[in-house]
Amino acid sequence: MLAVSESEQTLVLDARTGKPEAWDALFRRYQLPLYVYVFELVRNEQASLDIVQESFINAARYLERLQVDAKFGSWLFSIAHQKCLQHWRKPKVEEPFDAAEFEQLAEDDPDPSEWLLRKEQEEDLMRLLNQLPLPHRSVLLLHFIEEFSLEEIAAITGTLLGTVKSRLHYAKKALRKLIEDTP
Amino acid sequence: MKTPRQILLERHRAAETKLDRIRQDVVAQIHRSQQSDEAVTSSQTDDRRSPESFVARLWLELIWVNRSFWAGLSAVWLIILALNQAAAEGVPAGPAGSMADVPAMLAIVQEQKRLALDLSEPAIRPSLETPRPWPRPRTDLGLSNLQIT
Repeated sequence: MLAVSESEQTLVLDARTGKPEAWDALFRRYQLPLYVYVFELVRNEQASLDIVQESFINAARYLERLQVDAKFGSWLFSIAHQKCLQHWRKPKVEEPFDAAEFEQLAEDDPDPSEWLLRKEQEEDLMRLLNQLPLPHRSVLLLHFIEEFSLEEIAAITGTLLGTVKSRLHYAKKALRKLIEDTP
Repeated sequence: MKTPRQILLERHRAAETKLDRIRQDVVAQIHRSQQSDEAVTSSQTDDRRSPESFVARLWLELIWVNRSFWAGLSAVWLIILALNQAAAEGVPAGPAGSMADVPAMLAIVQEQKRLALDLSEPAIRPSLETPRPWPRPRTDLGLSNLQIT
């Protein structure tokens, strides 16, 4: 995950006392990444804006449920993720965990910040995101946008750690192929 | 060269104006609710301090909250009072209406006294004259009847 600064933890502390300035700073920090995540899942601008707004309101309403201040970001994303699920109104189907695939997972995958794409590959990245199944897309977005750890992604999406690893591996493999295939 | 994060954020940068508006709305909402919470808290504190509010609070917390109970209790008392009044009206006129019968009443009382005396006298007399029908205890016999050999 992107390093959580001490000032962010202080902001969460201040937000707990109801300081509007603290909320403003926290929302400003997360509004665009959160919107990108929601939009890339929902594919509807108005619905995405609504979900971001509802996520902010719920965060303000239920902040006392956040146990670790440093986890504010992943907690906010988990609220938005739940809102996306509600938006689809589909029962969440857990994919069966493929143990064989899990064994093949590469442990030396580069960090999200080490994935560098050329200008001409940007469209390919977006096309890839479109092609990925929703659960894989969700994991890849969380990995790239906020560099959340596998445990955090599992908590946000409400899936098993092994499933997250498997999905991320699948998505990264597809992305790697895309990069290699592009001349 | 850009990271996927940079690419994704830049693609949606145009939405920031709308996101700013949403953020400001939510923060204003938080601010309003914070202010209203503070106003409620301070007004409650002020209310508790003033004496007239003490009476009002007493009325509210003691009477008004249990108003059905107090109304029921009042109704019961009214019924009891009404029944009591009705019973008092049903009793015949008191001694003030029978002052003319006083000599007759005195004569009756005298007659009752005389009869009571007649009945008690024969009962007392035999008890004084006749001996007791059962044997006397040995201690009543006296020392003269004991023979020491």
